[in-house]
Amino acid sequence: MKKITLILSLIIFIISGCSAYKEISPNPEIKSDENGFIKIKDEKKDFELDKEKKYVIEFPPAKYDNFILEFKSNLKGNSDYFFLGKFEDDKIENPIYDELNDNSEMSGFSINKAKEKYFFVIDKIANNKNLVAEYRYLPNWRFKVEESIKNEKSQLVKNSVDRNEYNNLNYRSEINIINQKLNELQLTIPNLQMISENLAKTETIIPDSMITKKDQVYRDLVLFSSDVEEEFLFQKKNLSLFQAFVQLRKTEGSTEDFLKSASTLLSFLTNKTSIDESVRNEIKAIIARRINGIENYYLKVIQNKKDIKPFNLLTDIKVVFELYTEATGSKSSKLENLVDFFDNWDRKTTSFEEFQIHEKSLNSYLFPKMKWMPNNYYSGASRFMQKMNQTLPEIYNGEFREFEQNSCVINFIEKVSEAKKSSRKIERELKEADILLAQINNLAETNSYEMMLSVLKKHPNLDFMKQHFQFLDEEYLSQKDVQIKNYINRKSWEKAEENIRNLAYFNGFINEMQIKDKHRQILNLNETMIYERIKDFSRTKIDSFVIAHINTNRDVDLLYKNEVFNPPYIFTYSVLGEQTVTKRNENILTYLDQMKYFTFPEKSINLLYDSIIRTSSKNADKAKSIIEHGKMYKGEDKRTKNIIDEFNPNIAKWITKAKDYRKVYVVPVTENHNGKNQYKFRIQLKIPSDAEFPVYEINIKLPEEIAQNASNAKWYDSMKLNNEEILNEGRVQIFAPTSANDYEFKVSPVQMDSEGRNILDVTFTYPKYELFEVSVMAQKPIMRKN
Amino acid sequence: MSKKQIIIIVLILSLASVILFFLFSGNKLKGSVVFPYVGHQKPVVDPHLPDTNPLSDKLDEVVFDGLFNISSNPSGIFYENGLGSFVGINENDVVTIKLKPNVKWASSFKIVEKEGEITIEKSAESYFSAKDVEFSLRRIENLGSLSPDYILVSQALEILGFSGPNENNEIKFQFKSDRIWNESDIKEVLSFKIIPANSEMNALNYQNGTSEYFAVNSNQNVANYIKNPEKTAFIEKLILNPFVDNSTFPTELQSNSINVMLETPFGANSPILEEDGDFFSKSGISTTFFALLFNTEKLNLEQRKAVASLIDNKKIIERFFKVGTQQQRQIANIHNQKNKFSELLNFSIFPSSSYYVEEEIVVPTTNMNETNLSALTNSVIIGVNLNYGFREELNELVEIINSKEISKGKLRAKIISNEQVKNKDYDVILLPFSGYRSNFLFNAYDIFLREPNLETRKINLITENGIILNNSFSSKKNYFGLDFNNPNLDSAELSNLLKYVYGFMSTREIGDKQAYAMRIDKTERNLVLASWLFSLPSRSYFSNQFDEKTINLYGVSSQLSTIEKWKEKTK
Repeated sequence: MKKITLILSLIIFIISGCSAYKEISPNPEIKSDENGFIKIKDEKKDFELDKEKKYVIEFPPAKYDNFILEFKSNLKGNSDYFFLGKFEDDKIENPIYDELNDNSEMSGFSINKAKEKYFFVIDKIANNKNLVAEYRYLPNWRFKVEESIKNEKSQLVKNSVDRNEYNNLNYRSEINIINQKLNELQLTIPNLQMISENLAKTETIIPDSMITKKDQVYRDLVLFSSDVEEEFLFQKKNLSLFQAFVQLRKTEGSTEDFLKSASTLLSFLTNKTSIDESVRNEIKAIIARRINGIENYYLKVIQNKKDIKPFNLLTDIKVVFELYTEATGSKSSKLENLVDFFDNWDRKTTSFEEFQIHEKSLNSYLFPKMKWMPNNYYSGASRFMQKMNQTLPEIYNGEFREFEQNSCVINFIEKVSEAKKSSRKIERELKEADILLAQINNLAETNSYEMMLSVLKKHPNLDFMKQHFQFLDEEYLSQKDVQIKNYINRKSWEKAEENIRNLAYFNGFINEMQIKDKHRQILNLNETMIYERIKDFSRTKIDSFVIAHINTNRDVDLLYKNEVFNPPYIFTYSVLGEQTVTKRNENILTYLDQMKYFTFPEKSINLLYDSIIRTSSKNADKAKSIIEHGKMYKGEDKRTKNIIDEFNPNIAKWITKAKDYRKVYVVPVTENHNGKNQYKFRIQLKIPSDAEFPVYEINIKLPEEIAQNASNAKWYDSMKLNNEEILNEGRVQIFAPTSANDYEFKVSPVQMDSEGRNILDVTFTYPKYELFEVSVMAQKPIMRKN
Repeated sequence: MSKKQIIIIVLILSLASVILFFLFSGNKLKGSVVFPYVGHQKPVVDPHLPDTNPLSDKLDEVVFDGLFNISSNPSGIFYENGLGSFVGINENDVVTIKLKPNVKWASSFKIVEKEGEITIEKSAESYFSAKDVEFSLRRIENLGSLSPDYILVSQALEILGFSGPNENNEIKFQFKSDRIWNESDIKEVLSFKIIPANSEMNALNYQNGTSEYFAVNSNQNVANYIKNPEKTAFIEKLILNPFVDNSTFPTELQSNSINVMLETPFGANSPILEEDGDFFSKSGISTTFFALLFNTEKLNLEQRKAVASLIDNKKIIERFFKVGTQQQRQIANIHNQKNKFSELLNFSIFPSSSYYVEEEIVVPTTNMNETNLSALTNSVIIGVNLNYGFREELNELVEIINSKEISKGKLRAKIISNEQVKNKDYDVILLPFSGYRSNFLFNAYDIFLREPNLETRKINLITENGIILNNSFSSKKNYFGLDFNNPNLDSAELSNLLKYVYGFMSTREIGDKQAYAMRIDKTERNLVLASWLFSLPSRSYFSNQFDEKTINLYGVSSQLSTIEKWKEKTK
């Protein structure tokens, strides 16, 4: 039993011993009345605080809401303490913010009447000490006003100046010191302004009832505000004075600088309360000396002005004029005139600038970004015209009086006059353009660019319109470009060239200079295109034609009459001149001619010939085709020429070696595929000989089918030597071909000479249309008896 | 028999007589080819020598065969087998000819003409053989340049001979290897006429042949001809009809006294023959030219030049053919071109129709020197003989020359006899040269070396070892009086002329022939030996008795070589 009792006692002890905060109960007890500070005492003693312990003091709630519990203690800075609205189970939760969170001994906690209690909990103490503390309950506004006054007072102290020092300074004091003081003032004056403003704000939180009752704190505030105002005025006055000193000192020797400070100086002079009269008079005298003769400065400014803009003087001349009047005590009529001039000038030039802005707007309007404008577009420019008319200054004769001879004035009058004329002109032009635009728009519907350009060309005065419609130059060019290309694509060469020519000669462009490069470029491109197309077209056609007809062996003469051998078109014009026309035509024709006179006949001839040789063909058509090709051939290919010569009955076949038989083709000269045909062959001797009069006999072996009836009827139609019919009666003998002599006939003698005479021409008729071969041999003749 | 019956019988007999007359009188030349000839110019047949009488050379073809005979068809000439046939030619140019067997000479037949009737009887048979060929070749060789055959054959054969015959009666000729010898050429070379080996080497007349016709001697010492019974000719007889001169030839043809006229007077178209359609005709190349040969013994060089410059052959020919008058004689050349008179004018020994002029090997000058009449102190006598052909033409020329326009009072043409000709009793003699060839074988001997005798043709060619001797030019033996002793002649030029004439006639080389032709022309012009007046056109007429299609004429001397093919028209 003893043991149980002991354990229970221990538990109770432990439990009771665990509450770590010792409650301090002041005596007198704490009351929430608004009675100023009340010390927290244990009767008359201070509470002793053990650094090992924690403490709590309970405060009653305020009687009214929006109160502050101001607490002053020696705890701040070396103890941890909290003001709580609730303190249970030693838990420190949601401490109330210290409104005076500074380093002072004071703390301020917002409280109201709703809470049962408030707790001041001392959580930690650095050293053992006595608690020295007092508290008071006060409304929130009072707490703030008092705090504000307390704070601003300290600011006023900081921003107040030594008045003796300031009062001892004058115009001739050392400028550095003046500047130093001026800088000081430039720092403190804004601060003073800030204090004044803060105080004015503080005043607003004092309830009206308290003001009415002239509560102490309100009276403190008023008194302190008047102190601040006094200091502000002092500093402000000295600031003006020092600025005047500095301006005058600084601008000594510079009229411009002096005038820049005119406003400052004027305000100094006109602020009569801020400075001693003697000081002011001194300053005034200085200014009067400086400002005397300032008119000449302005006259020079006018003389030097070249533009017609407002003057934008650094200092309003009116201020200068006032400064002058204030400083000298009299008015300068010259300066007054200048004031009038500058005023008038600036007014009118400003107006003129406005006019120019409107004019610029009009110009912008006249050059809209859109290409096509509605018909009433130009009439819509009237609003700009109206403004221009309103702002265009009216200048009367003699308006600028003695200043009229200045160049800027002359220039201005001139410009205004020009603007007036220009304005009237543009007004007229706009009316003209209004009508013209409708026409243009009408033509635009059908893309009649050329007509549009033509219409515009008839109104050369409408520069703005022409400028705007410059794009028509390109549109027209593009349209023509497309047209020409279409013609080219459709192979309407003549139309294409005609259009190129017309385009080249076209002089209706709005901006000839600007468009000329493109104009030329399009012409050149199209010219090149038509040339290349025609060239390619003709080449393609003729190449295909040649391939298709290379083996043709009938009506070859008609092949050469085919249009493919003619240029599809003969150029008659080129931008680059006649030589280019000729050159292009020649280039095209050269290829065609190359095909006509070289490639086509050469290839065909060789193919046909090879075919004849390969098949031992008696196809006369092939031979005739070779002849027809040969008529066209102008090449130098030896084989080809030889083939042509071999088949051409009109070309005498050369016998170049005696006693050698050579083959000669005999081709019909007529072309009757189903009946009789006439044949012809020619033989000419070209045998190298030293003889002066070489003479030979020609032996010709005939195909049997030709000669087999020679005994019954003359096998040949005609036999001529040197174009003379040979008769056996003459000096020449003709031997008949017979089966006995293997159908070889002979003509003898035949004289050989270098002039190509004595060509043996033989013609005969055969009832078929065939190619024959005869074998020809020449040798020296024998002298015959008969 | 009543009177009435007698009258009827008489009428029937009369009618029958008339019918028979018309039947037989129109056919009096049937079966005959009848040529005219000038009585004084009896044709002489020598197959190896040319004759001035054109008919003579033509008759060669009628009587004689060669190994091959020239013939013609519409396509030209050709050679057909004569006394030989062509076997072949080998690579060494040896030509083999098979001789035709059993060919009899004309002497194998006895031809008897009794009262106009001709009968052919067999006689001692004499056959053609290789010996005849050999003899003929030897004769040709002997004749040398006088014979055109010599030139022809010697072009082909180095040696005028052959080997054989062999057992096949083939003979072989070694042809030269300088050319290709085709069959036609071989046959032409071997177309020389063959006379029997027992013939005289230099007879005046040769009549024993193997060809289509046999000669029948007539009283006038001119042969007619009858068909060889072993040959194939269609016409039975070939008769030569003599006339005094050529002027009547056309009327004789028209009156059916002759039926072939190989030359017409003036060579002109005969108006009377052209009017009706009873005749067909053919123009040929000229074969006759007229020239005035200067007797250099009587005329010195200046005088010859004067006479030559005086002669205007253009004016003469225009008057000769009456050009521009209503009586103008119409002519045609071989091309049947009409009235080309100027092409007949000659300006050289070589006529304009000849090969040498046509091919401009000889380029005669047509510009005459100015006439220096002072050289001609007396009238120049131009002798003209009318009895040996061309009487009509010569008469006309006498008249023309004696006209003042031509003679200018300095020339006087005079008819002279053949004796006067022989004696060269003339300053200048006007001569027709007929039968000239326009081919290579133009005969210069006939001009320069013929003895002045119109009755016979004799060429005074004297050679030794192939060189012509100067006495070939002997004043009495040529018309010009060319003689190295003639003071009127430059002997150097004369020597050249002689050399050139011989060279021209004897060469086998055409180049030489051309060169010599040029030199002859030049030398003759230097010597001024003649005025070469003009050629006569040639035109022949045939009776429609003949079938025109069967008559293929060619050449000049060979016109009768195809006579075996001539046929009469069948009704």
